[in-house]
Amino acid sequence: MKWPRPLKTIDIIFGRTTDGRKKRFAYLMILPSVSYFIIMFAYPTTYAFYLSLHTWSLAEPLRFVGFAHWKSVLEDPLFLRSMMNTFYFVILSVPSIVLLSLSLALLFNSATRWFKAKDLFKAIYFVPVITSFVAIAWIWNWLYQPTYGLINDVLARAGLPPQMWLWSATQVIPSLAIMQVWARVGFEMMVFIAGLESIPEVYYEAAEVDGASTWSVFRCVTLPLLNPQILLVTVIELIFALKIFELPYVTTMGGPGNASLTIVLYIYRSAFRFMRMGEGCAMAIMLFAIIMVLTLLQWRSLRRPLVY
Amino acid sequence: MIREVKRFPLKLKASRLVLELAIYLLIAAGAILMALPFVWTALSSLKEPDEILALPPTWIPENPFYLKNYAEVLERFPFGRWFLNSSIVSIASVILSLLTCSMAGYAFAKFDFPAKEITFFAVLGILMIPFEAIMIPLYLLFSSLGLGNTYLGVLGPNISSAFGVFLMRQFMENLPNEYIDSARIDGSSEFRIYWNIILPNSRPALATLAIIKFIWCWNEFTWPLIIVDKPDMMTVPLGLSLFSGFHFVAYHLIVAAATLSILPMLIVFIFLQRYIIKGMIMSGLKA
Repeated sequence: MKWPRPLKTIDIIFGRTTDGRKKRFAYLMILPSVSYFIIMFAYPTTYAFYLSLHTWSLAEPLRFVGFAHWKSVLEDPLFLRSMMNTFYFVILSVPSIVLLSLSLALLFNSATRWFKAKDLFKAIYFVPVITSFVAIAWIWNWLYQPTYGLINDVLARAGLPPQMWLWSATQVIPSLAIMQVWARVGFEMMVFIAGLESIPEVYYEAAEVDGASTWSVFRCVTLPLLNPQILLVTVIELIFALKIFELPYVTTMGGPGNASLTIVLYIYRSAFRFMRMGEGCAMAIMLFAIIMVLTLLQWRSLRRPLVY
Repeated sequence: MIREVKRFPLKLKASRLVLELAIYLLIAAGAILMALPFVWTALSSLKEPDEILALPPTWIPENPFYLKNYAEVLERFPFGRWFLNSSIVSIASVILSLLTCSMAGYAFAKFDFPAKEITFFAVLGILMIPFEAIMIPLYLLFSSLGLGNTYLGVLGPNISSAFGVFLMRQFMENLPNEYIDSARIDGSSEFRIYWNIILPNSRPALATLAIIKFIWCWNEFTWPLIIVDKPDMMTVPLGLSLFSGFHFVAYHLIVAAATLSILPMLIVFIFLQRYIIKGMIMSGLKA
């Protein structure tokens, strides 16, 4: 060892020699992720916009066309149809998911004697969340099957006429919405249960002292304190539903007619079936804009301090 | 409501009992509705092709040990290969994400360096980008690199994640600085501090990220659909989607294949239920 021996402790205390080394180390540590994010996210995002201004083809280089694709997309009746279908799906599924999962969470929270069955029930509600949407699509495709399916059989036993479900232009979006509700309600229920458990007991004690009824406790204590979760769940589900793709891709491919053509399904079809990358990118950026606004809303809801 | 009973157990009157019973019945009815599609599919998968199309449908298969549908699925489709592919991609993604995210998370949590805030903010910004918005350029990028139909190609978007970096930073910020400082005084190298002190102490966060990442990769559909078209390189969900290619939908194969595809994740879920639910709620299902 050389003399004078490096006085490590003192160096650290005064931050002399280690500071530069620490900075270099920190940069090395973020380097893999940050460079990866640039390649996988920053570059494709800008390139998507660039592509939307060009016509892409396998044979020739990109041809600049300005906003022609944006214009043609906005005038494309099929794109408008896919937007309408998606919004219809969102309007049907999202409020149902929020209401149902909130009600379920309240039920779970107000039962007291579980005989150790609570985890089992939670698990049953949660299983669809860990199942792939492709499997969910097939399961429901089979349930909805007009001739051999279980649902029409139950309807028949109840004396009701059979329905065409996924095979009907008017029922296909509601049928997909039911699938979405089934797939997502367990997840959001658990979010609400976590929210309910975090409400401090003192509020309920105070309400009890005041002799509040169950309903007014719910309306004036539980609901306001659960506001952040309600907003969070709504926004998560909005984003999720806006991006719906697997369910119609597997079950209907957008049919019958174009009754279940959704935005992402149309983007996929334009870009990868008809190789219209420019139009696909223009639509994708529009979807991105909608989702970005919703995500910002979600962040605000998470950061908002609780003042009641 | 619950609190009332907890604090005054003697208040449990008949009306309260009836209410509780109604609550249980509602929860149980809901659970039956949630489980029924799975149960029906699994029962259908044990029926002979004729019985599946019987009218009216039977509930319990005539021969509950009829496994030929499964045999036919395994024979006609490379299901084993799809399981292997899904496992390879999911496990690789878990390992790589744990490494990259914990490294970056540690640097953001415990180091000061120029442009740290703005870099972290940019990483958070990535959370806003939906995959659907960038799938077209990513496809062009990957296919120009010749990554179509390769494991690296499927793995591509799942090597690191902004959410993972965020999760790691949040957790590591709460680790005491004394650990790091005393190790430095003892003369440990920075990398050894990360590897021997930070990582072992971040186990809960690492486990959460691993679970989220694994489930996400295992179930991912859109990206594999775009980047893979060779049956041998498909993942389980992608292979499962192939069944729509038939003119006549062969339901006896579909129900068997769907049941097969769900089983592994279900088994994992049964054992790790608590961690999985907690982890997924933390992520908001964004990996």
